Amino acid sequence: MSPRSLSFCIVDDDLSFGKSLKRLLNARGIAADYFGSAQSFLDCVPPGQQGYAIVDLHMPHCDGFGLLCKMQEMRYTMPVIIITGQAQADARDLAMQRGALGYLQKPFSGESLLELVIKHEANSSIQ
Amino acid sequence: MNWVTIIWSTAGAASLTLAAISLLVWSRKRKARAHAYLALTAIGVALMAVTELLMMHAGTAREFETVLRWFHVPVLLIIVSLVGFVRLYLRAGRPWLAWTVCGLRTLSLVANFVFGVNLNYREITSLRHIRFLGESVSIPEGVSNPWMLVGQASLLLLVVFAVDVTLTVWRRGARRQALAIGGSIIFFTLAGLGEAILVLWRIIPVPLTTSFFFLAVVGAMALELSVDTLRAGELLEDLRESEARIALAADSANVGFWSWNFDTDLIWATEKTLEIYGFSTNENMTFKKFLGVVHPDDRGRVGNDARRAFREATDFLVEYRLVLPDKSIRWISVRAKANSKPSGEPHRMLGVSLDITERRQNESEMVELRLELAHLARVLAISELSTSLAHEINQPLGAILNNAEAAKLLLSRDKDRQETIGEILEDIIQDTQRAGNVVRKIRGMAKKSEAHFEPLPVDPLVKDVLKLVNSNLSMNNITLQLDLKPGLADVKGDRVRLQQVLMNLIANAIYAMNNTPSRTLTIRAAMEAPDIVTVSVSDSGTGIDKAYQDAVFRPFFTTKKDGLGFGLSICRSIIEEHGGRIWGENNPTGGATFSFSLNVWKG
Repeated sequence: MSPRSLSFCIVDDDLSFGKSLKRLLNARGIAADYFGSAQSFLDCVPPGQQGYAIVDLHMPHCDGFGLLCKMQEMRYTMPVIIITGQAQADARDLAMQRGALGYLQKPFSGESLLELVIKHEANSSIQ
Repeated sequence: MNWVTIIWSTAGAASLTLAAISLLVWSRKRKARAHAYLALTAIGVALMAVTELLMMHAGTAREFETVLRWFHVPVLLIIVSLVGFVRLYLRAGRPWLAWTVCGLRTLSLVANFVFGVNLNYREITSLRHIRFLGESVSIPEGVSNPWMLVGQASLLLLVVFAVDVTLTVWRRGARRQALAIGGSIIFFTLAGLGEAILVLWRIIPVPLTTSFFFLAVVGAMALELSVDTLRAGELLEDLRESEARIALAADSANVGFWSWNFDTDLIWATEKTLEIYGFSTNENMTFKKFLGVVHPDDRGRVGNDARRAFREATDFLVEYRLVLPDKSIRWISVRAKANSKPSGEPHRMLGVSLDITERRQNESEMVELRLELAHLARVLAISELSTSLAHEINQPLGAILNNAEAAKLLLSRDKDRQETIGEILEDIIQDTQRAGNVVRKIRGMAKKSEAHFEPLPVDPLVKDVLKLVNSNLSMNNITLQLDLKPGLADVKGDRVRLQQVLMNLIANAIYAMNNTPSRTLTIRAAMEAPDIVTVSVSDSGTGIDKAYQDAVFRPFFTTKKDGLGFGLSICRSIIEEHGGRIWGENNPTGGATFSFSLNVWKG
C-alpha cells in the first residue's frame, strides 16, 4: 500500500498546530482533515471510515483519552495516535494501555509520524 | 534543813539554771535577745527568792528592813526585763504603757531607798514569828509607807500592759502565745499583787512568796521559747526536706542547681550540675574551673555577663557551649540571679543550669528541614512552571516545525507553490511570536515584588543572620570571625533581601568548607569609600575553580549535587537592584571571598 492512499483526521484544539500538520501531510501528498474538537470529529467521521486519527491529548470538554474511549465504544476502526505538548511521564504508557497506536510529543517531525503509520501498515498487510 | 529553806533554795536554783541556759543560748546566738531578757528575769526571780528566804529568817526588825529594801531591786529587774521580753518577743504592747510601768517601778525603787526604811514600811517596829510549812518564820509589824502605792500602781499598770498585749497577740492569731505569756503575766502579777497587799497591809499573816508567782511567769516564757526552738528545728527539717524535694525535681528535670559565693569564689552545686559540666562529684567547683570547660568562643561573653550580673545584682541569663573532656559539645542554658549584701557589695548568685543540646539540635534540624522544604518548594514551583511552559511553548514550536517541514517539501518540488509558502512563512512568524509571548508572560508572572529601601545599620543585619546560622556553624565546627568596623554608616537597603544575600553567601561558604580541615568563616564590614559600605564573607574552603570564575553568578550554574544554581544569581540581582556590586575572588591563603558593596543611605 502506498502512502498516497492514506488519509488522516487531525483532532486538535490548537488551530495553528492543526493547520500546519494538515499542510505538512498535504505537502507529502497525503489527504488530511482537521477537526477543532472531539465532538466535531465524531459528528463528521463515521465509525467505519478508513485512515488514522491524530488526537491531541490536551483539549477542553473531551480530551484525547476521552475521545479514544468513545471511538472504541462506537467501534471506530481507525487507529489513534495521541499527540501532546505536555511532557507528562506517564501519559505515554497510559495512551498505549488504552489502545493507542502511538504517542508523539510535540514538536515532532513528519518522519516520526509516518514511521509509526508505515510500521502499522506493514504489520497489517502481513496479517 | 527544813521545807522553807528547801523550797526557796530550789526555786532560786531553778531560776539560776534557767538563766544560765538562756544566757548560753544568747551567747551562742546574739540575735536571740529574747533569751537574754529571759535570763535577766530568771536572775531577778532567783535574787527575789533569796531575799524572801532571808526575810523569813531575819532575826531583828533592822535586818528585816534592810532585806526588804534590797528585795525591791530584783523586782525592778524582773519587771523591766519582762516588759522588754514582751516587746521584743511578742512585738506587742503600747510603748507608753511599757515606759510608764518601768518609770513607776524605778520611782518606787528610788522611794524605797529615800523614804522610810523601805518601800513598804516607814519603820518596822517588831517581828512576829509564825509557823509556816512547819517552820518558824518572821513577819514584820510596823508603819506602812504610802509610797508603796506607787509600786502597786506599777504592778497594776503591768497587768494593763499585759492585757493589751494578750489581746493584740490573740487577735493576731497566736492564741497559745497570748495565753502562755500574756495570760501568765496577768494572772501571776495579779496573784503576787494580791498577796503583797494582803501580807503588807497585815490582813493575813504569811510571809511574801512573790518569787513563786514570777517563777511561774519565767517558766511560761521559757516554755514558749523552747517551743519556738523546737519549731525552728522542725522548720529546719522541713527546709531540708523541701530542699531535697527541689533537688529531686531539678534532677528529674535535668536541671542543675547551684549557688556561687562571690567572696570565696566557691560554687556549691548539686550532683546533677557537676554531671552536666562533666566534673566529678567530689570536686570543689570555682568559677575559674567552670570557665575552663566553656567553649573558648563563648568564654569571654559568659565571664563578662556573669561579672556584670554580680556588679549590678541583676539576672544572669545566658546560653553557651561546653567542651567536655571527650571533646563533645553541649549547649547549656543558665538562669541565675545575683544578690548583693546590704552594703551593696556582690554577695552570691543562685541559679540553674539546663542542658539544652537536644533542643538546640532539634532547632538546627528544624532549620535544615525548613531549608529543605524551601528547596523542595522551589523545585516544585519550577517543575510546575516547566510543565506548563513546555505545553505552551511546544504547541507553537510543533506548528513551526510542521510548517517548516512542509515548506521544505514544497520547495523541493519544482512547482509553483509560492502562495502556499507565503502562507506558511506567515504562520511561522506568528507561531514564533506566540512562543516569544509565552516566555514574556511567564517572566511577568514570576516578577518579584518591589524592594523596600530604608536606612539600614549593617551591624544588626549581620548579627540577625548569624543568629539564624549559628547552630549550623557550631554543628559544622566552623569558627566564626567577625570584623565589623566601628562607625559604619547606615546603608540604603531592603532588610529581608540583604539577609537573603548574606544567608546565601554564608550557606555557600559552609558548603565550601565541607571537606576542609580548617574551617573559619570571616565576615567583614568596612567603609570602602565615604559613601560605600562593603560586606564580605570569607571561607577557608576549596575556593572558586578558575574555569568557573565568570560563571558563578549565572543562573543554573551550580557545583552542588542538589543545587539549582539560583543562589548567586539571585544575590546578584538583589545587589544590583540596590545599586551595588557583588563579586567573588579567591583568597591568597586559600578559600574564597564573596563581597558586595552597598550605597550609604542619604535621606
